[in-house]
Amino acid sequence: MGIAGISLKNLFRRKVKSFFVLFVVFIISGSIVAFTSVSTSLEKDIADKLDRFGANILVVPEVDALTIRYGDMVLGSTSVSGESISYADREKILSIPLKERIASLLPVYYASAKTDGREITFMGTDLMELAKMKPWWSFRPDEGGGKAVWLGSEVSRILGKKAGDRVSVQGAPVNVGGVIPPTGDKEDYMIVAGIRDLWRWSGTENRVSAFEVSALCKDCPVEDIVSQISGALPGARVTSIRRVVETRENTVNQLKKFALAVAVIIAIIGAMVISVSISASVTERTKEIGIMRAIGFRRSWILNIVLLEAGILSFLGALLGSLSGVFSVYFIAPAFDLERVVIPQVAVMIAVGAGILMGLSASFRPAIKASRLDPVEAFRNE
Amino acid sequence: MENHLISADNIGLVLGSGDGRAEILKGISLTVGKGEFLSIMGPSGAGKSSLMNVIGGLQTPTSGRVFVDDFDIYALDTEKRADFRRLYLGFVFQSFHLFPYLTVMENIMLPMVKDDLSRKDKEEIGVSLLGKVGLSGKEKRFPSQLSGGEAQRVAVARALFNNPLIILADEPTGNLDTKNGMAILDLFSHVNEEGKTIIMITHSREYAQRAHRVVDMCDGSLGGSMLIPANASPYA
Repeated sequence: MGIAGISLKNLFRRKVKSFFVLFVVFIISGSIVAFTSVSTSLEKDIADKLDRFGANILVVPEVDALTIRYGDMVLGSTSVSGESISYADREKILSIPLKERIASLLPVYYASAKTDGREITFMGTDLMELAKMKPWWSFRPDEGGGKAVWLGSEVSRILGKKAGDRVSVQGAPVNVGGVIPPTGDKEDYMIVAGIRDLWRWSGTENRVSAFEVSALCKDCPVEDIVSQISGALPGARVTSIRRVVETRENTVNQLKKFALAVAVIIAIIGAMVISVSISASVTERTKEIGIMRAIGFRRSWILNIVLLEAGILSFLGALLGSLSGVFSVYFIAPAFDLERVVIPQVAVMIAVGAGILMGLSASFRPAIKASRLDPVEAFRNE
Repeated sequence: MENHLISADNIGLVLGSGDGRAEILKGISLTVGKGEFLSIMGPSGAGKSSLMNVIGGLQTPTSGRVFVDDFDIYALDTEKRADFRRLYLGFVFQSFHLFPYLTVMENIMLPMVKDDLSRKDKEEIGVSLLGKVGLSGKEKRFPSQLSGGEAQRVAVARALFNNPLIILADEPTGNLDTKNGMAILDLFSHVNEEGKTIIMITHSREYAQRAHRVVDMCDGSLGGSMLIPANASPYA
């Protein structure tokens, strides 16, 4: 029987106390994995949702004097005068080095066309991309039945048209695919159509008023993308919508900080509990340690015995805790409406390492205390 | 110091300070020869156990030096002194001090926990020692399954496991009845005949006279030394 044998015998002798230390490490590692995985999954989920919820980069023609508004932000001009951008620029945008970070790219062309005898502004765009980028419009381009237009809520009210009706655009009959719910923005006063249909009705081709780019993704270098698009389109003004980016970053950072804070608190409390438990175990064994020292055990052997006990419990606790942390995330996920669970492998490895390190470091002080026990003093306290 | 295995030179031990200051050992000088069986007698509080602790490298004296096999044990650092205790000394305590969660065999192998011997070799030594102390076949028992006399014999086997030069026994018969006490004394005599040096603390004059020499202690000082002629001590 060696040092390891003595440690194991001690652990089995104090089953309840051993289990308690193991359980604390189990909780620490499990919490680290669970919190990290949930926060990473939430982060990914939020990022995914934000990616889908609108653009964060706007590409418009370079015009100095005029202004346009995007929501309540002043961005530039939608005027088609001066420099212009064309549909062909879409390929240039999609060929930048960071093209994989572009979640969706929406070409937008604004023009007016006579509709049921009234001059109404149309927004021509890629309808499939629009449905992807603005899901809150409840927009289903496949329900139009071929050539169709979608009416803004105010346009629908003024024209008295609803889904399934027909309107006359530049004298041609067109189906109304649907009515876009009120957005409180300019879309309420527009008709949305396929960009090619609008080119035909307005007698133009390949004209684009703006590109809306959705490039929100995890750790997305939005400013780098802006810079690359600017490089690809020298005649365009490319603007990032900082507010969206910052909101997303702040949300994600707050989540991360929260998860970290909870994990740190659990780890600190856990470390204190482990330290107290091992200290109590050492105090209980004062006489035994004294005997060991008397019969010639070196201080380092005593230190090894105590640390080995802590190490075995920490390793088992960390391993089992991390595994159950992984499984628990799948049970927790529905409560957070997570569409998919992300288990960062690094977090699992860190949790195992942190559990072991925590157990060992919390046991170090009591282990040192044990190794420095004076055998004579130990017998005296018998 | 030619024939002296142990030489304690002017040992003083003071514990505590101020009002709690106590002079436990007062300039004790003592030599013990190789193969000698020495008994130390004295009333409680005389300083017998403290003297044994100092000789055993467990308690650093306030003054004086202890030489064992010609080297100053308190000149050694803590770890080397632990090695010294493991390799040179075997301790037998009044309360046996066996580990309740270890078997008899594991208890006696404890001093060799880090030695290079294989488990098989250690077990062979253990079996042989258990035979010597009359406990053959009890290797797998736990201390709670032994009588007091048996437990003390296990403690003696543990003390002998590393084949030490010296056995230090602090009232080894204190918790035993006369029959078991005499059995332990017989064991010590036998071990002593094999060449081990033994220092034994005892309250019993009868037990003390099994030694070659009896030293009396009182109030931290040596009162005198008496040779036991019947034992034909070669250390006169």
